[in-house]
Amino acid sequence: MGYFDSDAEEMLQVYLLETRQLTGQLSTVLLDAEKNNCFTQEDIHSIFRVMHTIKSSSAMMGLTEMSSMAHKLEDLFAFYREQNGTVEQPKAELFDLLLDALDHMEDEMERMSQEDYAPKSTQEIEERAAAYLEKAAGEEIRLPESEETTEEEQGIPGGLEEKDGIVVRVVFEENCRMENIRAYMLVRQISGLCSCVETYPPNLEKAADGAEYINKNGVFIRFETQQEEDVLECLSKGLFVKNCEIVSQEEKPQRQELGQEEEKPAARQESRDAEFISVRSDRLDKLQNLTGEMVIQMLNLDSGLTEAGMDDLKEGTAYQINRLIYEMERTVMEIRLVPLEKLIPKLRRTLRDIGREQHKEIDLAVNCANIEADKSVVDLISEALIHLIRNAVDHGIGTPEERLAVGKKRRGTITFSVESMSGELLISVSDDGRGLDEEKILEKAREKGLLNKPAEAYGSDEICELILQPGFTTNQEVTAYSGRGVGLDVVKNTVEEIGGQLHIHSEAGEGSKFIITVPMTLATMECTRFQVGEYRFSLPSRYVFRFMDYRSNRENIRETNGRQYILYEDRMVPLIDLRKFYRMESSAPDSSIVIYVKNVEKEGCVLVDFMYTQKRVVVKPLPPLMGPDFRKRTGITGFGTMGDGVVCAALDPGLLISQYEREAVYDVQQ
Amino acid sequence: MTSNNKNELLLLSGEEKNYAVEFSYVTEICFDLPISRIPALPDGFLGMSNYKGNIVPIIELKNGGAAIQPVILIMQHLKYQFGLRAEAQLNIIPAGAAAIVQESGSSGEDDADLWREKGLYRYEGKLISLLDVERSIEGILLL
Repeated sequence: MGYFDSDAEEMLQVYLLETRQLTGQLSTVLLDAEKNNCFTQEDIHSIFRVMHTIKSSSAMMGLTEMSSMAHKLEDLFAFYREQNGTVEQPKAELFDLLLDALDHMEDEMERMSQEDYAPKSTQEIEERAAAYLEKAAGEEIRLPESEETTEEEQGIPGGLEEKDGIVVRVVFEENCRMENIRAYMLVRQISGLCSCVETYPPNLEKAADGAEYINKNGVFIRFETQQEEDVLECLSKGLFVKNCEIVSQEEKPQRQELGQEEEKPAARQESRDAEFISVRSDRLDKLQNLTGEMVIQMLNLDSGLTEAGMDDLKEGTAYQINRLIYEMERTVMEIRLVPLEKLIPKLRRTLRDIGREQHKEIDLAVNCANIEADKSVVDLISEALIHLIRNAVDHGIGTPEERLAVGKKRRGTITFSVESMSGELLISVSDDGRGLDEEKILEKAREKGLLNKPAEAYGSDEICELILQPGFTTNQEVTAYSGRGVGLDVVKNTVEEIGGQLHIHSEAGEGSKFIITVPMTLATMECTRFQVGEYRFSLPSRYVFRFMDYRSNRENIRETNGRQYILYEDRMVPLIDLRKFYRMESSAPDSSIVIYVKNVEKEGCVLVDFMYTQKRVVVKPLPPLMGPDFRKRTGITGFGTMGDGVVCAALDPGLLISQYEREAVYDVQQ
Repeated sequence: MTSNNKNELLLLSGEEKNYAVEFSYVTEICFDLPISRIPALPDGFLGMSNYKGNIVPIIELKNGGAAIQPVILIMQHLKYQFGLRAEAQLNIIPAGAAAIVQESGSSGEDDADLWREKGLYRYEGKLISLLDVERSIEGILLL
């Protein structure tokens, strides 16, 4: 069973969800406060509320250490609250304390679902918090009256008795825990029998601190109903209910029949609840997989109907089902979209920590508008971006003195920006630091035996790519953040695994820019499908711009250095005969088609035998057994399934053209 | 499949050679799985198949069994999934039923072979090469 008993285990997911939201808020407040060098009144209230809530909910879950730590920090900010002012120029010690507490909470939450979870001690943080409070407060520490304890027990709180209906006080059995949730469940049970339900404390399911109040005073429920006895019976027999007593009963006029569409607080609350719900991401993944499989099966069905000559069915019912599946797929994709903005707090925190460690002053400029992408894409690139930030600070940005010495501003800037274009995300992390030292890179690459041609023959782009090799680093020593050479190759692999690419641009003395392009979704994509010889291929349609007839364009083809080029508009672009590229023995037929493709960095033409209709295809990533370099060597980035069940190779035009330019054929082996 | 498949071997009896794999690596035995040809695959790879939504590479195990119905074993070890295609008759035996004749490495296995062997065994008068799935995967990854 693990650390938690069965009751608490049921509530664990809810606790984790709520607490993560709170720690997210806390992180934002702390980073803003540090940046502004001031805790505003609002900041102080926010931190107090966060700590107060975490204290209560952790106690409910039996997490005494976490509760105790939150309590100490709540005390600290209760003190500041009492001062009714701001905290100007707070000491670094305070931020360190709060961020350490935040890290501790996040670390604990990461581990809580594990079978062998055991809470870590918070003694050190608590001692620091108490010491800080003592210093700040001077002699005495006074705790404020918490809002709930100021409530009087003898009266009916919340003004409930002044309204119509019956007010009951429900007391739960001792130690039943999560009293607020239990009260919420009671309310839900009676809502259907009542035209109006109101409680004190209000917002039961959201206010975890209400549990403490309810434990001491019970929950007050005001309801209006024509089924009084049923409601009372329901409440009395509720789970863990010890006692249910009527504390106020007003004569009320005959109500209209149920179903009256007047303003009903409970109904209003329920409709508010319906606006947002939390969904487990593994269930979303499952839904997306199922939708993907439906797309594949629909392709099969389409093909089958065509082969059977059942055009009526294909154009009729099958077409309608296809439309519905398309709508469902789009809806699932939209559900899974999360804003790229959610990465910002983590990036800011990383920047803050590493900047302090290395005594560098750095601002993070952010430009990501309201761009959203699939949750799995965002989760996967999150770590990659943290690596890039670390890299930029460690290698790019100098200390203030170094920067001033070369005429730069004291504070460095790292810019994180996101654009979306044709179903792709372009994410860049750029800095205004030293830029890549090409000489140093070449020297290191020579030492490691990574050069496969004379150093002078390497272009800037190729030199930049050398730093993406595993184990490559020009750092003489290992810091906490980099120097082991495991950062950038991890970034490259992570990005490529999801069908993306990493590009580097750098200028010595000016700075560097790392650009990641990734698809916005890993589900389905519109693909241009075609055949060459016995093989079937697909290209993402967002890269396909034009089709040309091979026969009539033959005179526009030239060969240079074993590579073919074709005239496109006013320039010669690579022409890749896939037969030759993949070392097939036959020749392209006269009836071949030339497809012009273009992505962010490359353009070219591909020669194919014939085309299939453009379709949405579920492109699956390369199986792990293909190894890490298969994509780059072959231009094949994944596999899709055609309507007849045949597997087609999904091509990446950028990789294809790059390999063609390098070697004119696919690379058989490293 | 019983819960004891860790201690069972799946025999692949061909016309020229007999192999065995530890049954714990076998996910499913398929007879009609279509294989799609894909360019640029390493030698020994026959193509790719769509297995329950996953695209798995299909690798040939040559055992000279042209007259026997081909079978594809869907195998998995950690995150690596692949299909092993052989023309063989299948049989399951307890691991202890086969007697070891020679340990791996001493049979002069060719580095060019995709398949690595754990050893040579004898069962009911037949010589059987027990495939080392993990080492074979390592070798494939190095290709």
